[in-house]
Amino acid sequence: MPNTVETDVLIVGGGPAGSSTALSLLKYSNLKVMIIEQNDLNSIRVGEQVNASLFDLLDYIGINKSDFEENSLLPGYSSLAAWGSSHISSRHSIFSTQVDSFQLDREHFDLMLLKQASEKGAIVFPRTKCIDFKQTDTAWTIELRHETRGDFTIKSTYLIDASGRQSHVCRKLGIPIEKYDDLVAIGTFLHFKDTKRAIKQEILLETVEDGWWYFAGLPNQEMVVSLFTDSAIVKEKQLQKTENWSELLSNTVHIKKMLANTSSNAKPWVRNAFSHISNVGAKSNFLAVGDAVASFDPISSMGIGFAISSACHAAKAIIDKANDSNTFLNYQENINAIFKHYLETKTLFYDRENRWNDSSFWKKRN
Amino acid sequence: MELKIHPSIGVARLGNSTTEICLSPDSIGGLPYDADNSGNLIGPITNFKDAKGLIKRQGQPFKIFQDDGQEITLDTPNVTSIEWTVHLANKKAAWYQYSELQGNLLYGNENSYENQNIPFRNPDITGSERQTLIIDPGPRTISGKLSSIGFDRENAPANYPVQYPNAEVKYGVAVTTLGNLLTDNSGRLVVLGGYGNAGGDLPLTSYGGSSTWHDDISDGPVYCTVTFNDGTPSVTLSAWVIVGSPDFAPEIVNISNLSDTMFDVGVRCFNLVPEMCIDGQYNPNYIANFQRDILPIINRISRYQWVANVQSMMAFASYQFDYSDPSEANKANRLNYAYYFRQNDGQPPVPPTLPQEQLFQTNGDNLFPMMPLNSGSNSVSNTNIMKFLALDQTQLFLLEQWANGYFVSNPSYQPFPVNQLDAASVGNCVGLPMCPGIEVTWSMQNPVVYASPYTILQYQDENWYLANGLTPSRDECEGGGCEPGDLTKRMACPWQADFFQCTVQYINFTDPSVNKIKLPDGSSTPLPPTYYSYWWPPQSPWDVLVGELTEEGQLAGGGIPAGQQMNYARGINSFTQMVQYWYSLGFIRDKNSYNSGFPFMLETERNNEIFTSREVPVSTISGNPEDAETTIPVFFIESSTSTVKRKSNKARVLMEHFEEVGFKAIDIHSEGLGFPRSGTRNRR
Repeated sequence: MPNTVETDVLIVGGGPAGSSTALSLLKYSNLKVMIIEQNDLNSIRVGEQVNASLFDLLDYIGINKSDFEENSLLPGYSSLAAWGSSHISSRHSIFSTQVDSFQLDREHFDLMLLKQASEKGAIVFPRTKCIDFKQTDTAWTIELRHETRGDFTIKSTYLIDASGRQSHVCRKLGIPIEKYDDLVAIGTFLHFKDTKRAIKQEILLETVEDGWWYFAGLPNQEMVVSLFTDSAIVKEKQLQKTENWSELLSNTVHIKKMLANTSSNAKPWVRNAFSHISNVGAKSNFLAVGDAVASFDPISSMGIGFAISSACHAAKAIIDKANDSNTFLNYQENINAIFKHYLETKTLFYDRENRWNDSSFWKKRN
Repeated sequence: MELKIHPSIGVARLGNSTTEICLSPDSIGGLPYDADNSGNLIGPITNFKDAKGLIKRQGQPFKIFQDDGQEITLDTPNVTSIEWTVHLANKKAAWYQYSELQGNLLYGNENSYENQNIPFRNPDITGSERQTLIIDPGPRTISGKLSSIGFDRENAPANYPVQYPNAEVKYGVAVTTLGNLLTDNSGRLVVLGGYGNAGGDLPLTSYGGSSTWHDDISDGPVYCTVTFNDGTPSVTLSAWVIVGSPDFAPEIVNISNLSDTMFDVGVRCFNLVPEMCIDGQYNPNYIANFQRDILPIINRISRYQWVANVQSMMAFASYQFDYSDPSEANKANRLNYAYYFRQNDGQPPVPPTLPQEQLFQTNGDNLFPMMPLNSGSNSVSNTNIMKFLALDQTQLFLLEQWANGYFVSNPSYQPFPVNQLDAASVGNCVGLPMCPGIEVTWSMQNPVVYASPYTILQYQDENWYLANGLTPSRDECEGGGCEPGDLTKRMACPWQADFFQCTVQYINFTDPSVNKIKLPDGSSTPLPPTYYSYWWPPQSPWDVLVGELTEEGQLAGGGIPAGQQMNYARGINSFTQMVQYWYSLGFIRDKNSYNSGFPFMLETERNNEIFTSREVPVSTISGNPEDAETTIPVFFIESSTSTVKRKSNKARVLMEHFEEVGFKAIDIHSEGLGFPRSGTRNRR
């Protein structure tokens, strides 16, 4: 067969979950690993708050603090919320979770992990799409297409879905997916015009009738502001139109104050933020990691930590499979337990807001 | 002792840098000069843009000279004061729609705007209200050393009936000023034009612009009063200034530039060179000078190649014989050469003599495009057609003298009686074609707008403007002189619309009476067959050599190697984008200028970070996977400026590294997936 390469593990998706799976496999086994990434690594990612326990996970997959670029991990942002009342409190006092203590520059972080994976032996194919997956008793055969190099084939023993919240591979393979809500983020990046006044790199949440707003100051006079709401509300209120979105923004109490003297010429973007879980257990030699196996409401701050921890567990399940045929099922059970706990915690968060009992957004979540 | 201001018609140029300026060149094809923020010359220009990538405004210095060539400044011992007044205005929105050559009174009174029923711009505003369409900040006065004053509302003179457009616009940026005046260390005037702002409330739909739009182009008179301390009576002088768009290729000169136009009008209508031409009659025994009269035309023809693919013009300037040889033995060569130049159409053209509708010189089944191969002043509409370019009458006369052997070739020639600074300023503007042109248009071919050669005749004076404001619809080509804003009012509004739309033209070359035909849907299209022709490549380049000589620069430029010829405006894909991103275009610069005769013109200072580039495989359009082996580069502007700022070369380098490593693994097994020998699939 022409244009065919073979590998032990093929990971679909070059984000933190995919890279961490590769790093973990390369560190603890001699398996050959390939990563397929659909885009050109140049997409925008919003920064994310993480807590110090992330370093233990990174240490496990062989990443040290020194591998981070300067400024890609900034400590000590204030994180505030007007949640449950129109008064601002510290976010941690409302949600009583572990204190978020680092702001992660996802652009640097994601590239750094992928680069590390590559340097440690993973072969990465950017700008490549999976066209077809076939499975025989012994191996997967995956048809791929690169944007300019054309079609090729990879044969792999294991296939891992690390394609993010959309669970592309799971969907293609017909794996049962349970979706819990239709949360979306609709937002924009803003530029602060007055270059003399540095914007504070802080985070602010504010609840409104249709959901909650998220604001974060970013380096270089930039900021991101987005509304987390239901996709039905976006459709009904036509929020992808700048004027409608801006009107909702102008009805906020605190967020709008953060935006004085800013400009944006872009239409709001919409990103999925729904919660879901994929039940992969029944499929042999296949696993999903990170958002692809279970995705969480961003209010939980679970995304990045779960991406890496699930990657470590998935890698271990593959490595241990030779000695224990149940490792894949155990992996999925562990995921199910985490997700169950998450649903309980999420309800606690949303229960703290009781001002809009008639709102469809809050009714679903209280 | 007579005093004069030079240049008599200065040319400043727009820029959007708020921190740095430069000064206009003082020779035709010369570079601008770096200057400090008071307009003091520092030296030859280093960069055309500031550190942020914004274009420096190009200020025009005005100087006072005695007739012996001695300059008068505030440092001259017997000078007490020099007071300058400038009155800039922009009348575009109050003028008629641009309609090619309709309205040009050189074609007779029946061709007037009224008789041709040409609609006004902003036709919904009528009567005396039309004065409000003019941008008229009134005059500004400045004196002494190191002063400055702006043409904004705050600095307007009391009692003057100023007119400014709305401060709120739906598209683009509202115009709030037309520029400002500076005086330098010695009290010389520097006129700076606008910032390239343009805005309006309707979408842009045509190269002529749209109603409701304004830009910050302008022109107007420059006055100067010099007083003396030794009893010499004070003197009042005047000049004019034109504000144009940036000259993106200052070292490339139009074959027929605006100095040629003014010289031609001076020779034919003002007896500027009486031994050459008296009362419109050329002297057939006039002895031309090859070095002065012919060589510059040939040099300009040869340099178009750096901004436009006009190969037949390159071939034409390839020294097939010694052009400077006046001998009888060389006459056949010279006649053959001159025979390739188109003659002028009449005004109006009279069939069947229509030389400017003829594309090719034919000889049996041989053919060669006549010179210059360029669009004429109307290859667009079907009224007053002028398809292809011809040199102006005086240029053609001198060419004829040369061909017939009435010339010498003497490098130390007697120059024509035109001040060198007067020729230099307008010599860097477009002279032909005029449709409408870049800086000014065909009204400059009309002798009635001049008081004398290279000097604009002014209509009324500042006291009259103070009492009445400027007149919205008076046609200065009927006589009586020009008001502020009259020289630029016929240009596209905003200028970016014409600049974006008009660089090349498909021109029908088979039917002298038709440029375009109507399609069933009401739109019009050039009548086929057509020939690919250029408009103003020295001002608005089309084909340029990428000049990124560093790895980082090439990455930022979409991976295009240096030396590849690319489309100049790549990535600007609409009128609206041109209005916003005109400043991102590169400047074409001679990188071997110390050794004249060996030009090496590269595109420099393009703001690559604004553009995104992709190689699109043909298969994405054809659907045939086999077509993936050929790609086409596509350039565009990402919709969010934040995206631009957040994009990193690092991500790209990393991606390419991954691909190199990854596909090496595949190539071991592959059958012909390798890269082609040329190193690219891009066939442009």
